[in-house]
Amino acid sequence: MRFLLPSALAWLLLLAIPLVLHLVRPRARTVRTSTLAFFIGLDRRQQESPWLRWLKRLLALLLSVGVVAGIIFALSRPVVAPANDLLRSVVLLVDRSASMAARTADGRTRLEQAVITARQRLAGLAAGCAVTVIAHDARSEIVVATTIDRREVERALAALTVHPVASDAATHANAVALAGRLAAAATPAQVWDLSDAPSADLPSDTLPAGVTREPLNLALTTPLNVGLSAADLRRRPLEPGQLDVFVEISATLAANTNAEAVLVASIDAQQVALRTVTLSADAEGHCAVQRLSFALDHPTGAILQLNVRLVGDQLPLDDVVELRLPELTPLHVLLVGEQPDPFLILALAGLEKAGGMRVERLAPAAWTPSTIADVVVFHHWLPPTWPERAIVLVDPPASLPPLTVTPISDGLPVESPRCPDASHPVLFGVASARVSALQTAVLTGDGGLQPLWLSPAGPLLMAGEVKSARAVVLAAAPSRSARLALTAAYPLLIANALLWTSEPARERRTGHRHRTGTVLPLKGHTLTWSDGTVVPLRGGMAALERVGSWSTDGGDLGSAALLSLEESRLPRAAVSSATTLTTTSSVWLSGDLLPLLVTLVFSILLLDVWLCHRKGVS
Amino acid sequence: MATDTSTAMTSDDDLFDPLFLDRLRVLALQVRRRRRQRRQGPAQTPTAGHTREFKDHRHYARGDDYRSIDWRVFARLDRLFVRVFEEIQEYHVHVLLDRSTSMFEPCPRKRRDALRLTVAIGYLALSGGHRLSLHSISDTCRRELPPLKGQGHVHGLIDHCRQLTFAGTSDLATSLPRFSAGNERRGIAFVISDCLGNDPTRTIPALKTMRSWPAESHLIQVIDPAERAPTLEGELRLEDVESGEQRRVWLTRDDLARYRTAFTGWCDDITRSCAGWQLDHIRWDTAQPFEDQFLAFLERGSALSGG
Repeated sequence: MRFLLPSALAWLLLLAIPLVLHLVRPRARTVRTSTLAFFIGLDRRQQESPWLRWLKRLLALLLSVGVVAGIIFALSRPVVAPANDLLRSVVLLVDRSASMAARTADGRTRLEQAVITARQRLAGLAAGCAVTVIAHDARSEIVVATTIDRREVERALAALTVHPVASDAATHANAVALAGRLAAAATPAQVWDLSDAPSADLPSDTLPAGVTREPLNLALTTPLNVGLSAADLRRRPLEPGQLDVFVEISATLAANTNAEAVLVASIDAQQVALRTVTLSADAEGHCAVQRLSFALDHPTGAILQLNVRLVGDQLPLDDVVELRLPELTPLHVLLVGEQPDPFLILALAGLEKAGGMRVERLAPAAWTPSTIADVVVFHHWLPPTWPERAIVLVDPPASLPPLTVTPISDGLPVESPRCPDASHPVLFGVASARVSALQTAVLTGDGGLQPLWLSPAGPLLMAGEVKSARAVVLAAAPSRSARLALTAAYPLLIANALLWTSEPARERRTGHRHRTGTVLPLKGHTLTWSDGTVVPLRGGMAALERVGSWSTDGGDLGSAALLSLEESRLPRAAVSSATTLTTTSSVWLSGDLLPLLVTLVFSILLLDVWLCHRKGVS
Repeated sequence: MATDTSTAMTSDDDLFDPLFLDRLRVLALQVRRRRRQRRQGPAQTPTAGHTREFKDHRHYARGDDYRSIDWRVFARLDRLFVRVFEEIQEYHVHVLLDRSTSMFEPCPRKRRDALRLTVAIGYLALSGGHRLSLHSISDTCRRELPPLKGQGHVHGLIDHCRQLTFAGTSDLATSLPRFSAGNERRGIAFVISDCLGNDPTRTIPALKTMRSWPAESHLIQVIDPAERAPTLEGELRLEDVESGEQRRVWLTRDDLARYRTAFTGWCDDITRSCAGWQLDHIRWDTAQPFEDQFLAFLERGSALSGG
């Protein structure tokens, strides 16, 4: 403990006043009265014994001395904080990402702990030291520009709230770099990195000369959390009216323990599914990601809510995901080709017959179509330019920028093509290991296309986003393939491709699904969240900084969820770490002790009044 | 605690100054005037006395003493009339004066008003032709003067009252039973006291003794405003003027409010008890003008005032 105004301690000489007053206490005035009877009956304390009166006087003296001493100590501004007298500026870098909403048993969030820690350390700064406050999640925001006004800093700290947005090491490094640039204006300076994951190993050139970083770890020592790190809804390809729900659950538990989490799915507050997941933590407390999928049969309603529950969960932000149910109307498919592959026609006819889509054919000469289809399937024919719509290219005959097609004469039989990303939605349910196809060309994608099937010659199946629309390219001839056309994988592959490529267009009608923190161009003037909160749209843009579903007065719909593996896996602080600031017992005796002393003085005064002046004392 | 009151007595010579005596005469005249006014009412019923002072005639009625029939009038008017004579009532007025220290300290106005009351009652009694006895009560009851009669004793009464000292403790429980009003039906007893003592709770049972007196009994409780609502506050050493007992107290406004409540309740208890025992109880406030209170007291009805 040290005193910011040690000269005020000279006032301790005033302690002599109550002592002198106690010693030279004036004798009580003698008053003659007709009778004592009515005075004796007033209070039982009139009959107290002399030693009790002496004890009370002594107590009154101690209370008086306590009040005077408390006031003098308060005036001398005692602080319990590291001495930072040499610093000219400090940048408070406060993490406000979703994981900072994790609460300890006493109900305090990590952000609240960060604010308390910041206040304690600010109390130890010299009065002329400039302070800057930066809050960061996925983005960094300068909350308070460089100032020496502590009240402004206090107000800004008090107004900080957690944003349900994910952050990662890169965004954190960017925030540190920004803080370093601001701190460099007045060196020596320090960046106080208040986060539950202040990475200790930042590149040495992140901060300029004269600026140092002090990581202040706010991570929990025993984190306990389960959260949804991924969630999706897909139409079942060959079963119209049915939806598949895909959920990914991640958790942090005590090391080497098990726990049971419950996943509840409900549509418009009506429970439609319940799943129990057993989670097992490793030595570090991390659980393997659990993936679940279940079907929804002809769901009716607007919003599907997924809620995962675990007893003692410390972070509620990642427990809930709201998804707008997609429309289940048939998909409009336009098939363009001179002589489409019969097996392709067969697959599309089967899909049409199942009721999931409506297929129209168009001769290449009639391109461009007058009708607007959800997906256009080109078979062995390409338009002059890449169409800015969802397309599926089957057996492309030539290159079409940005796609480069290198034909293989006579084709290349491919058995069990390699899958770099087997979890891609286009390959959902497709047994790639059983595929035997004749590759007609080697595909080379430029930009957003990624290979899904690879043969020794190169990619034969690619999927991705080109010109703001999804595309799937298959360089194989089903009719010439050994087994491709006759297996169930082919129509499933085509159905997946059609559904996946048409998904953005359908989402525009039924609602976008985004992660929180996304900035979107939206139509309208206001955005209304499912909890009733209305946010004005500035410049036609909106940052999704809440969890839930939303709509705009311009007709846009969507939902936002945290869905972050990094945030759901709460960092764990080492118990022995010197920089871990999770103790609560020391909060009262750290930082600026002025409020504590003022409280103490008032408490003593109240005690004094209650004990000695509430009624007569003898 | 005994208190030397001689100094106070000599410095209090204006206790019965000529002005007071003049006012006393005026008071006596007012009392007589009111007495006469009351007798001139249309519904008055003359009392047949036994003196020889003729008052009036009235028709004979069954039951009247035939010896009072005026036969001369019967001879002249042939109707029966009876003679009515003036009744002269003579009372024995007893004044019991509390001479404890609390009647003088710490409120000297109580002594002043108590003595003035004694003299005023005595003056009315003597000027009205009644007999007057003066007793002092403290821890016992003692006769101060032999029975007096005639207006000429007024100055003697005043001189005696001047010499009275106030000291010692009062205990109505022991002093009042020692008083004997005799068996005279026509007696009036006035007890002038503050009713305070070591234990005021014993006052009410002690007053019950007055119920057994054959005389018309009046209790005049002399209270000073400083006793009813003291203005003390803070740390004090209180001393009982009679017993000398001391207590160190710290008084707050709440304490004083509760004191006032308790004191008023005690006075109300005395009033209720006296009313139940058919005793006349008067609260005498030393802060109020003497004449106003004395006239109001006489108007309450007393044989002394003809009520």
